[in-house]
Amino acid sequence: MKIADPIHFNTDTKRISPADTGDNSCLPLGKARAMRRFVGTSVCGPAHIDLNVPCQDAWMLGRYSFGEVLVVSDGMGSRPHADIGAKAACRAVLHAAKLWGMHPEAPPTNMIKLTHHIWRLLIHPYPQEDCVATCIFAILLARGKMFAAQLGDGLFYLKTCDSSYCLSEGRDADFTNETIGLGLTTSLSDWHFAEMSLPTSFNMMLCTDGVADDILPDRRADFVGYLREELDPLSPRQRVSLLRRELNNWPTPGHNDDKTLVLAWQKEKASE
Amino acid sequence: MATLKEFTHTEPRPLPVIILADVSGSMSTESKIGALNQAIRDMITSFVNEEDLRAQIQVAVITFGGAVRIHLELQPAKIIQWGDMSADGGTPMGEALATATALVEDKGKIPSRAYRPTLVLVSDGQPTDDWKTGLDKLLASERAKKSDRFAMAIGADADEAMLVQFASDPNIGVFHANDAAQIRQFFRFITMSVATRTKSKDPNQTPNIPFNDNPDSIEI
Repeated sequence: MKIADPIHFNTDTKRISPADTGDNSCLPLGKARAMRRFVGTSVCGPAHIDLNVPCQDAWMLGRYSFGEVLVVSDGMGSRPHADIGAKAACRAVLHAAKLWGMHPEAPPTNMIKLTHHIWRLLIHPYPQEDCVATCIFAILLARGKMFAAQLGDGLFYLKTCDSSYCLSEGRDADFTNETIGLGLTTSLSDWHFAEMSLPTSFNMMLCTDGVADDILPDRRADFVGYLREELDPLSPRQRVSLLRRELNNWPTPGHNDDKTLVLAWQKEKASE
Repeated sequence: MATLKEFTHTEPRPLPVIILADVSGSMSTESKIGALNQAIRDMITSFVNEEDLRAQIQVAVITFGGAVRIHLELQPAKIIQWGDMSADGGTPMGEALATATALVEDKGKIPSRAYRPTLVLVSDGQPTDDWKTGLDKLLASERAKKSDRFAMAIGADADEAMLVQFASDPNIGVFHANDAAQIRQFFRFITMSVATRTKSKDPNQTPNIPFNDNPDSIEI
């Protein structure tokens, strides 16, 4: 499985070669976007349900003229306003993407810097250290390219016809629930990010560690493929309902964490 | 028909407990090794009998007496077949610490989905090797320094100054055991601390359990 090498920011921004994604052909803009499907949800984990505290995960999806933006975030449980931090992370990414999307030739690292600044505004008046949250996002540009970035634990996973791809293999977490996030760092070197062309057919998943840590690493493709097959024939409302049911009936014994999962897939043929 | 169960872990997230046990020659006196064996055996039995856990307790035992050995490979408590340790030789504590560090750093044996390990160091004497290098390496390790670390000094000859540096909570410090009953008392405390973590909303948080060093007390 291909893993994106972390790109450490310097004045010479490096972009990943798209060659490893297989089919690099791009459909006409409208047709590609029409065949993309999205679904996402967050559920509160047993630990927070027992304590009657709010879910500290969040996710958002934005659709714009330049493309779609997917983001998930996990507030650090030990912080008093982790739920606020997670929601702010998602809103910050959407705000930043709307600005960056107007200037898509600008370095993608500008997108990350904007996210940090806007996040600090959105959590005001709470201190940063009280709102620490991870952040994983993907921007699917209408012109057939994608920019994905990750700070902290969780998983960004892309499956194409002949390869699979993730931004981080758990390198940022020594143990479960011990990770980096917004509010703990402002260094670009703590982010993993990649820019590539999107093939005509793909499965994509963004999820927090409550999901990611329990998926068998060598079964990720099967996990995402299974969900796509189950969800694709359904209406949008039914997809959300099924996904919530799967997360609320999570199979790993003793599971504790909040869980957030966002899926995106694109069919190769409009008739599928 | 497939379900998500096919693609996900079927065991709870691990919570490793790693015992570093001094089995040098001096431990063969005054029933110390016998008490230590019984205390660890009882701890494992307690872990097996715990219900409603949010983590899978795994135990490893590294002995140092003459040589350093992995007496018990890291494994779930429920499958452990305990064999008693025997005491002989010097006290290569530095090498034992290095072995423990390597184990904690091994993501094949302790994956990122695991909760922070508990490390327990038990000794009745002075190290006979370069313990400082081993301890420095452990405390510099990103993963090992995040572990909960407890230390017990058995008898009056233990190197308490060294054990204090190992322990992770200066408010708790080093436990002292002068007889078999106190050795068992300490391990009941470890058992309760670990069991409490596995039942809490966040097993990574260290519970605040006061240690009652009265061996006649039925309370921990």
